[in-house]
Amino acid sequence: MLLSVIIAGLIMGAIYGMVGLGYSIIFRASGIMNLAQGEMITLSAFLGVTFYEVLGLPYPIALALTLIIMFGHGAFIQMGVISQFSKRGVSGVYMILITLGLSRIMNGGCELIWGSSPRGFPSIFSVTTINIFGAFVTPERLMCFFLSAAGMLVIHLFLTRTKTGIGTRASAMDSTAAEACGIDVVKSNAIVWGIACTVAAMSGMMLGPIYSVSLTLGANMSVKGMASSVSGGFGNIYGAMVGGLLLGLVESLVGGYVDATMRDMIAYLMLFLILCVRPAGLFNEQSVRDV
Amino acid sequence: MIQAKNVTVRFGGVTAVNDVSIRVEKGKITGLIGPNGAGKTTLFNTINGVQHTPDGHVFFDGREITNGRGYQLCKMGMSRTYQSINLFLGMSVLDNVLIGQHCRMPYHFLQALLHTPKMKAEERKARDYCVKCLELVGLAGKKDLRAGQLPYGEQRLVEIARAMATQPKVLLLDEPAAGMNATEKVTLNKIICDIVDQGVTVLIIEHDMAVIMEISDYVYVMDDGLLIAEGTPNEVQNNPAVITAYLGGE
Amino acid sequence: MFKKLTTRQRVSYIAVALLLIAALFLPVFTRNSYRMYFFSVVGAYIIAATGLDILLGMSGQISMGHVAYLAVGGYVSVLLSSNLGVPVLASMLIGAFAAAAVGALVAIPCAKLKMQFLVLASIAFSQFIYQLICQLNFLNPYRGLQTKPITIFGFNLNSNYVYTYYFSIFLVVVVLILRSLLTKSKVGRALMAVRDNTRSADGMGINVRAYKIMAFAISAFLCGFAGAYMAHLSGYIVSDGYKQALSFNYLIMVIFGGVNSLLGPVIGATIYQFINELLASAAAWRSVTYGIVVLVIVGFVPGGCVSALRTVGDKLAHMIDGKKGEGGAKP
Repeated sequence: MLLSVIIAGLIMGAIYGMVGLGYSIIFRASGIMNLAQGEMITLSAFLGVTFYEVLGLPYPIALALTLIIMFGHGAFIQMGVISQFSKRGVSGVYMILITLGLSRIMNGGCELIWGSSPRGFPSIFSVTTINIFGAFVTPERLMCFFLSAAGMLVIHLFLTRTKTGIGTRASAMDSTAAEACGIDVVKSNAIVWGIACTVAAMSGMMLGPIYSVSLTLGANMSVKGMASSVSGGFGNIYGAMVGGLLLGLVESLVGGYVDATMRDMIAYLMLFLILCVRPAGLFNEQSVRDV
Repeated sequence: MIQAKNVTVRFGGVTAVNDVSIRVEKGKITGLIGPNGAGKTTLFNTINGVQHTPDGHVFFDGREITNGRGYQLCKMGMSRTYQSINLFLGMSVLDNVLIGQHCRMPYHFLQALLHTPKMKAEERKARDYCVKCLELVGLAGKKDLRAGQLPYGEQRLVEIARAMATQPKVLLLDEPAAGMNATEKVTLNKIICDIVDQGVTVLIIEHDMAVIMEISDYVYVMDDGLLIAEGTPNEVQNNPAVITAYLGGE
Repeated sequence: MFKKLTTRQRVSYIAVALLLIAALFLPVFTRNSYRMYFFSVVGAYIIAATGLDILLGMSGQISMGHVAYLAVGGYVSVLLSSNLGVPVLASMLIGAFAAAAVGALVAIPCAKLKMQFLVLASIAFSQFIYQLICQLNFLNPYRGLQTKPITIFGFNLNSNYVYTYYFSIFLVVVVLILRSLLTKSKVGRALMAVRDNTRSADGMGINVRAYKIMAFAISAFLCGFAGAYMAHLSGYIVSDGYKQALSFNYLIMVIFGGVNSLLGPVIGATIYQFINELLASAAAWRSVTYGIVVLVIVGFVPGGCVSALRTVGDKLAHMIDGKKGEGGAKP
């Protein structure tokens, strides 16, 4: 029983880590806490279900299309909204409010396009459960686990091995210096947001089959994502994954041994307590205090 | 009045302040000079409670205040200005200076909420005192302007007025003349002398020789974290070590 | 005293006085029960928005979780009045104090966090409270609990919403007066000093931590009171009204009205509720509208309605001065 609880927890944890990754990427790159990340997940899930169910496209194609569209969406938001406001001197609290405004617009937009009733995501595989060490896992969840791991690896390689990726990291650290070195800062910023949005898209496509697609999907998942990334150290890419796994485990253990209805509370409590006690998370240095 | 003994501060591998001991005599103007990066502001910060010093001790008025809490020192009578402007830019000039009187107005929350007669009396007294502080620096006429609207030199003077409003025994001035032109520096010197005439002890960091040498009673010279000389302005000016260290001082 | 004011200030005082008179005489023109109820509730929103503005505008701290305090105030008040027979007004006040205590407790660990992390902490706490409420069966979270009507010395205000309307006006005026008094005292100045420059404030002898916590407590008190008031006005209390996402609405009220201003929350809350009513049947359009409003305000009119009105007031004063033949000089 313990093993199955742990496995279920780790699998969900990988997905939470993916969600958290989106927050960490943007925070790392531009110091902005992107509260619109949740709605990107919602939007992606709706797009995905449209491609997969309504248009009948095969899952990999639906996935690829969603990822590409959301990449563009992220880049567009960065170039069209965030950087425009940034140029006008908006920063800090007010920038967070901008992301909040964006999230409301996206949520409203989703409701206008797709309506307010939740939709089920039809199953992708014909097998309903797989038995792993006594844990009965749906193949969808298993796929999510591997996709998350693969996604993390791809992003890691991109950021450390490719010229563009390294360029984004340079822009994040010092945009003036980066420009002086010939790095296209505008493009870098857009790419970063595009990636974060793609990560959200991936999360949405994975969470849709598990939780069904509804307007509140993003909002519910966003806190889990925040909890994951903060636990691991906000802005730390690997921290987000580790934090996610941790959250998944704790949730699963609480749900299995204490009370199933308290599962959701755990994410919020964990996030709050971590911020109270060790806001820097597991891997960051203490740099989050004011006075 | 102030005594710092064997103060040492390290930031990682860099020793910003290395075993420095200084004394600030009551009623006098003590100067602290040295080239950029000598560690003067860091030393200031240890005296003022902003910076921790693991070894070394700081005494104020006979009491040990090493590694103390900054906000309590204000009540004890120590006040300071900063190298960069640290005014409350969103508030009016008078309100800024009134903050200086914060720890001298003993009324509490409920009295503040209800504006009891006692509270109003204290406010009036504080306001009058603050206007006097502004007159000291010559800015009483601008008291209702927003602090952010004043030119740089005047903002510096408001900081001094604000520090004076705390009714300090000791005033720590961190490069008050930075960014001022020649006329403003003359005014500044006069203001500092006026302050001492009122019985306040002054410790001042400055780059500008013209300001420090003219008004200081005693001078300490730092370079690279070490105390390399001390004495009256004349003694220090002719000290060869100071001349070598302080290239481009005048 | 009126003579010492600038023309623009006179214009604004007159405008406010006119609005107040209009508000006082509104029931002469309409006694529609729903409308009176609507405005009564607006009063509660104004109080909550004022609370948030004290936190955001005066002490510079952000909170995305204010509904938690509304919830605490509401449920404490309901439990006290329904189960323990405490008179409703008293239970509302106690609820407010309970909310203030919770606010202070939260602020103790959280006030030291940098802004973005404070946002997260407030979101997390608020959602936690919501989930907690949903878990407590004796609160009947989903179906809701009935609340007792507001009575003063036995007189039932809820019997006719015109009474609650005047009560709302009274409460709002009291809150605004108290806020104004507080702003003009050392407490108000200290809060603003903490907002503008924590290091300097510390150097000036202000206990920054204590004032940050105080701001949270005051803010939570007002929100708690508003929450209790709303619960007793509507006759029932349901967990649905306290989802974290609703905190955003209060933020909109404050930002739209104008941060750090006395009348900002009044304008913001009133207009917000009007828009809510107009778009009552179109939740999606509401979301989009509010999102766009936020973008527009933050990007183009950061001072909110109040700053826009100030500009109008300046122009008006300018015209008046011009007519008086003062050479067009600005007051």
